[in-house]
Amino acid sequence: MNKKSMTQHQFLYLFYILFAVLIFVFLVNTLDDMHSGKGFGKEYFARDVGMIIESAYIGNGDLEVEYNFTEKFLVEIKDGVLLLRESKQSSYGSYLIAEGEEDLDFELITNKLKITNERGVSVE
Amino acid sequence: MLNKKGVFKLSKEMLLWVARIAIVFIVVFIILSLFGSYFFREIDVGEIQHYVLRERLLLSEDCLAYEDEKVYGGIIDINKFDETRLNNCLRYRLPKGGVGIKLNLSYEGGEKELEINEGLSNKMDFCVDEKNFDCSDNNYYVLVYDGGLKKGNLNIQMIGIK
Repeated sequence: MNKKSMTQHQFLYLFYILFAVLIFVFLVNTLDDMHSGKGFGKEYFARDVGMIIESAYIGNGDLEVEYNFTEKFLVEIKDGVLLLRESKQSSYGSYLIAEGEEDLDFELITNKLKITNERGVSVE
Repeated sequence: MLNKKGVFKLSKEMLLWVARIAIVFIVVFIILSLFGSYFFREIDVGEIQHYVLRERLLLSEDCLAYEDEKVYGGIIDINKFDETRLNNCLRYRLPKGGVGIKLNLSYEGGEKELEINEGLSNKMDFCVDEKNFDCSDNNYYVLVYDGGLKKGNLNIQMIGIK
């Protein structure tokens, strides 16, 4: 084998090692989410918060709900989907929200959400 | 430059690795499926989600509730029984997601039918598959404001993917 093909082989092996590490990290994270109940927690909170936001639309008077999480989460609504996770890279719980006329889009890292309905629902 | 034999070796090696990567994916899939089925805990919110949306339809001024100086929850304003209005009142931005709703209003002034989130509401036939779809079918005795108050019946059918 000549020098160039050796280098190509080395690149290939480097790629395989990186690929294996990625798969291993993904597997460990996913299994940890399943085992520790973190994944379940994120799904639970996402649906709970999502339905509270939907309930806020029912109120015809002023309404304010304060929702406290057990830890800090990255909570965002994008394209009508509520996503809840620890960070951008981690797995998430999701809930499809039935919005009103206005888009609710937001992104917050928080352990507390304030959902209000004062002539329109907003989340902060 | 690689000689012909080198190119052949490399491509043969690559083909082998494609097979290996496929095997890795299969193994990962099997591990996740096994653990997933062991730790699986279902959160079925279909029933309560449908309840919240029904209440929103009937009680919110943005949806069907009649209003003059105040809002009368449970009294349907016939002018608000409009597909565009209700699709804005319960608006899903992702097509074919969320909950599909079919409304059938019959009252002393006539009968009206409309659909919200049509991408899903036209799939009511799938409700036989209880494992994958959440469905509900509820009747409400309502008052309808159509120039004056009239008695009526509102049927709300809903479908959502579990």
